This record gives sequence, structure tokens and C-alpha cells, in this order.
Amino acid sequence: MKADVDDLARFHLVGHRVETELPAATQLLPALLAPYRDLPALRYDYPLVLSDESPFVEPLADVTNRALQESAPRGRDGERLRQNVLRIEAEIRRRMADGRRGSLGELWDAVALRPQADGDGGDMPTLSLLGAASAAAGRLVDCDRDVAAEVVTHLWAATERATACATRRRIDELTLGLAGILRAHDARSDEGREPQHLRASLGGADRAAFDFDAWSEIMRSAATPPTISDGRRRRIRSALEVLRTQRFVPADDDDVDRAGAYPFLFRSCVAAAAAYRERMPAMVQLVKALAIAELELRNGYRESESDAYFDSFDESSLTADDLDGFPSYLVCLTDADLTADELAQVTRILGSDAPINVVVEVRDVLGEPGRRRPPNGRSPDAIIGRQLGRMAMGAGTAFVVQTATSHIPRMIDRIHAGVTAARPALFSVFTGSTDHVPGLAPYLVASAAVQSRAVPTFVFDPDAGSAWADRFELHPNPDVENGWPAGTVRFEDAEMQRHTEPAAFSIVDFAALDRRYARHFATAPPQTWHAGMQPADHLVDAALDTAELGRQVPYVMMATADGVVHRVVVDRELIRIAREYGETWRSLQELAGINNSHAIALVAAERTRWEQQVADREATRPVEAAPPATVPVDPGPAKAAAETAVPDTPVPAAPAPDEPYIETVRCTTCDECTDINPRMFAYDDNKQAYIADLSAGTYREMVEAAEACQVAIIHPGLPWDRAEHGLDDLIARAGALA
Amino acid sequence: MTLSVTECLLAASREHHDLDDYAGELSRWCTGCGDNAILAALQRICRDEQLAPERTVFVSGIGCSSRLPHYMKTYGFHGLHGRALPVAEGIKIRRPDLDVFVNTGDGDCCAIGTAHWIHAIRYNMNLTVVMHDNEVYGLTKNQTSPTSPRHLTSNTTPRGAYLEALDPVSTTLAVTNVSFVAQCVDWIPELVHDVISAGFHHKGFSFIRILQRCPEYLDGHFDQWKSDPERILLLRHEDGVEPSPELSRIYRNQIVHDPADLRRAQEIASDRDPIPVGVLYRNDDVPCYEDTRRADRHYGPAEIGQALEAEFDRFAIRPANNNHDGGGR
Ligand SMILES: Cc1ncc(C[n+]2csc(CCOP(=O)(O)OP(=O)(O)O)c2C)c(N)n1
Ligand code: SF4
Ligand code: SF4
Repeated sequence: MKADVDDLARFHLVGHRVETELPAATQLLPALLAPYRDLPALRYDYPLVLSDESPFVEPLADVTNRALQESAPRGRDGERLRQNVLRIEAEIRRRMADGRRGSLGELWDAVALRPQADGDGGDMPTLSLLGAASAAAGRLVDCDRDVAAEVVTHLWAATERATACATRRRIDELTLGLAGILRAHDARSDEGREPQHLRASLGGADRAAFDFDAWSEIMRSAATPPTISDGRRRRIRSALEVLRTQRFVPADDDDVDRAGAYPFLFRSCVAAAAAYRERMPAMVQLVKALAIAELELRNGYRESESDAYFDSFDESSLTADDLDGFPSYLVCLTDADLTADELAQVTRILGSDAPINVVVEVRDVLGEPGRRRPPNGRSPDAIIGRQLGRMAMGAGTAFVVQTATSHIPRMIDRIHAGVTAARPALFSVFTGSTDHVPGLAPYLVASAAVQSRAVPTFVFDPDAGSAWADRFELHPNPDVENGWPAGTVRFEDAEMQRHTEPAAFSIVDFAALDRRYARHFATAPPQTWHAGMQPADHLVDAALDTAELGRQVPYVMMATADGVVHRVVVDRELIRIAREYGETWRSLQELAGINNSHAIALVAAERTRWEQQVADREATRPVEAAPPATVPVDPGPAKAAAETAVPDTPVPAAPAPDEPYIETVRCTTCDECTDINPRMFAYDDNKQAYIADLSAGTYREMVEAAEACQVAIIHPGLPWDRAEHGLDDLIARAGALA
Repeated sequence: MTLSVTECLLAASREHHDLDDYAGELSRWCTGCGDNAILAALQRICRDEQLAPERTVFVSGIGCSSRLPHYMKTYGFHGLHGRALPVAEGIKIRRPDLDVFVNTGDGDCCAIGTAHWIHAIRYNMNLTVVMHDNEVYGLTKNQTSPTSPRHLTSNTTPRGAYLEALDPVSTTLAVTNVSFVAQCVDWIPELVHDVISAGFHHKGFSFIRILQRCPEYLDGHFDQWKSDPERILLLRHEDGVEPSPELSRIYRNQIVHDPADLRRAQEIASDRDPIPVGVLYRNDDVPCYEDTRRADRHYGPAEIGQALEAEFDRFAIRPANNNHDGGGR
């Protein structure tokens, strides 16, 4: 029997639970995804090159682009070089898809130096020819199952190397400084002035020329300088001991094995948290020793206050700045590792201030179909994978990145920021590498997960500010303003007619990839197509009237390997599941300020109020009184500063002419006036002269000082004691100065 | 923003320093000597910045002006004639955490110390260099200096100096890596303070030439400029110095000069009448030698010993019967 329209409705309403004539939808791909089937033939942002130089992680395509930009000549030769480089790049991509691994140099040489079958391409450039020799050591990674852990670990290790190097240096400097204090004091002590000590301090050949007893005698005849107190010596010694035996950074920067130092890379959060706890006392001791050392060297250790402070120094005394130079922890997990204990520990870590980074490779977001969320006990892995990112954001203290492996290249700087942040961080990354989607490259699966909102990518960065607008980024999701990202499907039908049809890529399309969900789909043969068929995303979003049920049949467009496009109908169960994903996406959009419900309500309320006001005004306005049109006056551009302008600023008025005064701010501290009478003239806080006490001197001294003042800023005024001798002459001299 | 334990305790134990806390011995300069004004300005800057005396160093060479470190109650190094800069550089490279000032005279800097001066500009280490230019050798009692004007009679040129004066500011502006150049006259204390302070805040080699009166040997030498404010050209700019309204009332001859403009700075610098005062040039992007050459780790005596041993080993001659080492090196 041939399938008919009723079969479609029946399938939609009750799914495979009843018999229909509809064929299954296996071997089909969502039509929007179909053009990417042969992934390695495309130039895309994998493989990645992991190198030891900033930015540490880069798409191969970026490395070659840069090399070409810098070294390819213009014109025909340049074009040929470009073609050859792109061929090498494509071949590397293909070999990696076949499982080859190695450094960029190895893979490049393997391609570039192989004998050419066809001579048309000319010489294949080596990396050094391209001026990119330094990139050769970089390791190539593809969009595999473990790439998230590899990238995060790589960025983390680079950060840790730099931190350890800086901390090592700081410890070295302080150790040296403290030892220097002890040495200096020892040399000045009585023992330090003993002949044998003096002898030891002098190089071999010259020893014979010295009489150390006499030297010691002379040294000892000088007053004993104050030596270091026992308390201080003990304090310095114990700080030195802590600095020398600490295990947080390796004793040597070149020591890649970190001999003797603690490990910071873990496979479980329980273990990482336990290590963090266990090392806390040592950390407190080290911070204390560093602080004491720094205070000692900066002459800031005051026993009266500092002793008491350090006596009660504990975990709670540590500030974020103190922990800055300490290594951070890294835990690499998969969602399958998240047992109840482990999950509880992840939650505790993310709510703490411990700098523990957790990478979770999420291998399943959809989960088994038909499994409902249990209210207690262990959730199915898929639920954890789906919710981990949002859960972590809830704590508000952790840096959170949620993404899929396909989008790692676009979020490297954010991942790097997370790794360097001085707080816990969660990287929840969907791998796309799953047995449930056979025959499709993990990159495409991951990419489809992001497209379909199964795995929205986002970043939550508590250091970016206190408002959601600063902290939360819903990027780089496609078409972020919309519900489902829109696309266009182009295809030819049986009559070779070309069609284009708008289509959204929704969670239903993503489920269509997963063979566990196959039973929710059925192919609709062309004779069953009818006007009641609706793109699935419309039905997911619509609030359906029960009356409509059965009359509207949702479908998605899927294509065969040779490009034939089919309509595939979807059952009601899947539409229900799809709605949940739609809601999750919408709530993330709200957090990002897109279609925020509070804002929309507020705007609506404001609009109503405004409309009401307008209406009220209309009702009460007298008919004839039209207001005169007023034109605002433009204040004009601000006055431009003239080149030679001296600003006209008010200046304090000079004192009355008969009172003596000094223009103190112009005084050059030359001592002339203060030499004449140090009681009448004195220096102020800025060491500039002023009249300190008029009664302490004579008018004669005032006039002499005024004459001596080389910058002529002493103004003698008129005599204050009319009885003084020779006033006429002095007044005349003073007048000559004015 | 959090504070580390060290910063907290340092802040808690910080003592306020008055100007007198920076005053060392009583100055032995002649009464009326312009060096006094420079000293007062430096003490004010130390006080304003609340520099810890034990973390501040004044380095000098030889000359009247080079006595300045004695008059500061900070660390000081009264060095050899012409060698203030190498000493200061040594201090800075080993202890970049210290604030290092250099006081040098025109003889000290532009005669015997010229080679060090030129290369110090090129190194661009973070030093504040104040060149007291009295255009004469004061300490050696009235001898002609490279900056003395032509025809100046002195004990060494009784018939008048034969050569045109060297211009230290133009010279500095012409050297590779120059990053801060300013000029001032000692009799405008506000500007002496502001200009040196701008130099102190600049990260790099700040060269500040201060025309300084020596009433003992060149009495009245600067009088024509001192008594006529119109013959002082005040360079003002938000990236340089901005004079107070009081000062602007006296010194009305002002122009806006952007210290980023090297060509214009060179033009202005070559003028002697009026004397340009203010910040002529400033470039914050020139790297400091102590940063470029910063070792990535610290070497203590043990490491230095090891490195030396390794180096000596390369020259060691091994006894003939030493059969551990077959091939010679
Ligand atoms: C190697 C050496 N050469 C010469 C002298 C002599 N000497 C001492 S100070 C001085 C010149 C000082 O002139 P300046 O630097 O301008 O300082 P001022 O005294 O003028 O402040 C000379 C030549 C010396 N002390 N050392
Ligand atoms: S004489 Fe003039 S310049 Fe000198 S200290 Fe007195 S007021 Fe100041
Ligand atoms: S000789 Fe000149 S430079 Fe030296 S202290 Fe006297 S006035 Fe100052």
C-alpha cells in the first residue's frame, strides 16, 4: 500500500507506535549540513597548531596565511607559491583526517618534500622558506575527542610556566636579599672581625701581604655597630628555610619534570581538592615567608605590629594578590567521570575561590531518548553535560566557558583568559565525537550542536564587571538574535527544477543525526506532501491549539549523499523535547540582554503610560493655543585654544604697598636673607623664605635683604618702627627697589 | 582591588616624611648659589612623593654641584669626576626598585663625562638626571667649561674663550633613544620643581638642564634673563608642565609646545634668547635598558661561582696523565 497524507499525521501524533507505510530516514543528512559532507576538502579552522609561543594555539590556516602574507612575492610567482602552500595545507588536513599526527614540521615536510608525481606545481616550499621555521615545532591537533583537554592543558601549561618563572625569580631575589642581611651583619659582628674571619674573606694570593691580627685590631677599635637582634635573625632564618624548601614552583625553570615540586594536573576533582587542602598550610607558610622577606628588605617590618600580625597569620589572611604567583590546578574529565561524588566536588570547587580549572569533555548532550529526568539519584550523563555550564554560572564565582570543539578556534582568547583568571574555571566542551552519529566528522557534529542550540556557546567572566552585560557573552553563536539560525536550502527536484527554500537549523535537525533518535523521524514520499506540512522549527515555537493537532505535520529537509532532498516528518515527542532546548536558549538570550522579558515589559508599560499622557493632553488642550515653535540656540563650538594664549586666571591681589612681604613661591632658597637675620626671615615647609617675625629685625635689615635678594622678591614696604635711625635713606633705597 | 599582605603591612607601618627628613648636612655652597634652589626642589619632590629615604639614591661626580648627595638624607654616592652616570647605571641595573637621581655639573657631564653622557642617553635607563649648568667650573675656581659662552674670561682663558659653547640640550636631543629632555633656570623655583618632577615621573632617562647662577665666579652672568621675564620662553603643555596663574602673570611669554614633537623641540632648543624653559621632549615608548636586559632569573653567589668555574674550565690545561679526557678542547 502506498503511504498517504493520513500516514504523516498518524506518525506525527503517535510515532512508530503504530504501523505506517513511511520509510525510515536513515542515510540522510540535514539538508543544510549536506554540502559539508567531505570536510577535509574544505579549508576550515582545524587542525590547530599548539606552540610554545604566544598565542600558543592557532589554526593552521592562520599560520600559513601569515607566512604567505609575509613572504609571498606579488604577481604570478606569489600566486603559484600560494597555490602550493594551500595544496600542502589541504594534504596535511587530509592526512590528519586519516589519523596521522605529529609536529607541523614533520607533516609539512612529509608533504612538501615527497617526490612530485606531476611536475606542474613546481617546487613545494618548506616552512623555513616561508619564514615560518619557528612554527615547525608546534604540535598539530585535529578536532578529536580529546582536543578540548589538549588545548586547555596546553594554554594552562604555558601560563603556569610563566607564573612559575616569575615566582621562582621572586623567591630567588628574596632569598638572596635575606642572606645578604645576615651576611652584612655577620661581617660587622665581633666574630666577623676576628682575624680568621677576615682571612677567609680575602682571596688567596694576597693573603700573605696582610697582617690579619693587626687588621682585626683596627677593626675592633671602632665602635661596635648595632648588630641584628636574635629575634630578627631567627625570623630571617626561618623565612629563608621556608623559601628554600617550598615545593610550589620547581627549583629551576628548565626543570620540566618539576622534580620535588607538587603536581598540579589531576584526573579527578576530588583528588585536586584534597591536594589543595593538604597544601594549604604550606601555602600559608610560604606567603608568610614571602611577606616577611619583602618587609625585611623594604625596611617595613615593625616588630611592634608585624609580630602579632604574623603570629595569627592563617588561611584567612591570604588575599587574591598573595595567591597570584602560585600555580593553578587543572583537572581533565569527561562527563562519564562525573559520579555523584565528583559532581558534588565540581560544584564545591566552582563556588570556592580556589584557582582550580576543570575541563569537562561532554560526549553526549541529547541523551537516550525517552529518559526523563529523575528527581533524585544520578542524572543521565546527557543532562549533566547539558547543564554543567549553566549550573557553574549560577555560583557566580567561577569563570565559565561552554562551547563545542568546533568552536574552540574562535574562543581561544576566552579560554586563555579563563585559564589565567585567578579563580576557579570550568570549560565544558562538547566533543562531537560520538558513536551515536555514525559516519560524520566530529567537527561537523560539534558544529551542528552549536548551530542547533543543543550546545549554545557562552562565556561567563566574573572579572569583567559586576553587571550581567559585562560578565556574560553569548558568542559566537550563529544568528544570536534569533530563535533558530536561518539558512537556505538549494536543491533540484525530479524534473530538474531548481528550488530554494528558507530553512532553520533547529535542535530537531541535530536529533536527526543521532541514530538513537531515528524512530522519531520518517521520510515523507513526495506524493504525501501537502499544505498542512510545516517546517519543524515553526511548530516547536508555536503555542499549538489542540484543534490544530494532527492537521499540521512538522518536517525537516534532509538530503541523500547524492544531493536528493527529502522531507522528513517528526513525531510529537521530539517536538516536545525540542521545546525544552528552545526555552533554554531563550533564557540564555535574556541573560545576554536579547529579548529580555523584564525590559520588554518595562518598555510596554512606559509606552502605555506615554500614550495615556498624550491622550490626556489631547483631551484637555484648548483648541486654538498652538505653542510657538522654538528653535534651540546652538551655543557654537568651544573656543579653540590659541597657541600663545596665556590664560586669564584670577590672581590673588598683592598686599598693601606699605607692608613688607616676600613673594615666597619665587624664593630660590639662596640663604641671603636668612644669613642677614635668621629670626626675621625663615624658610617654610617648602624651604622658601617668608617673613617670620618682623619685630625680630630692623627696617635696615629688611632693606639690605631686599637688596641682596637676587630674584628681587623681598618688598620692604614702609618702616614699622618710626624711631629707627637713618630712615630717610633706607626709605629712598627701598623706593629704588620697587 | 586587593592588597597583598606585604602591601597592607607596609601601608600600615608607613611613616610620613617632612621635607626636613630629607635634609642632610648643612650646605657649603656660597650664599646666593643656584644649587640651593635645585636642592630645595629635590627635597620637595622627595617629600611630595613620600620617597622612602632608604630606597632613594643621589649619585654625583665631582664639582660644587656634585656635593648635592651630602645634603640629602638618603643614600648617596659622591663619585669620580665625570663618572656619575656609570655608577648610577650600575645601581639601577642591579636594583631597579630604587629611585635613582643623578646630579652633575656642566664640566662633570659635558667635558670629562661626555662619553658616559651620550651612551647613558642611548641606554635610556630610568634615571632622573639634573645637570647644574653654571657655564663654568666652580669647584676648581673659575675655569672655562664646554658650555661657557665664547669670549668668557676665566682663569683658563684669560683672553676669553675661543670656542662657541656646546649646547647640552640640542646634543641630548640628537642622540639615539632620547626619551626626556627639559630645561629650566634656577630662579623660577616653581618650574624647577615641576620640570624635575615631570622627569621623575617619566620612565626612562630624564635629562634636565638647569641654568644655575654662580655668584662667586660669574656674578651677574644671567642677570639680563633674570631681570626680564620676557626673555624667558615658557613651554606649556598638558604632557609637559602647566605653569600656575601666578607664574603666568610674571612670565607672559609662553607657547604651547607638544613634547611629542622632536623636530620642533630641536628648533626651540637651539635658541638662547629668550631661554626656553619647560619640557622639550618626551617619548614614553623608548624601552629602558634595565628592562630589555633584565635577566630571567637571579644569580646568587653560588650560581655566579658555578658559572665562573665553568668559564675557567674552558681555559684549564689538563695534566698530560689525565686519561678521563681524551681529546683536547
Ligand atoms: C679626573 C679629574 N680631573 C679633574 C678634576 C678637577 N676638577 C674637579 S671639579 C672640576 C670641574 C667641575 O665643574 P662642574 O662640573 O661644572 O661643576 P661646578 O663646580 O661648576 O658645579 C674639575 C675639572 C678632578 N677632580 N678629577
Ligand atoms: S634672598 Fe630672596 S631668594 Fe634668597 S632666600 Fe631670601 S627671599 Fe629667597
Ligand atoms: S663657586 Fe659657584 S657654583 Fe660653586 S658653590 Fe659657589 S656659587 Fe655655587
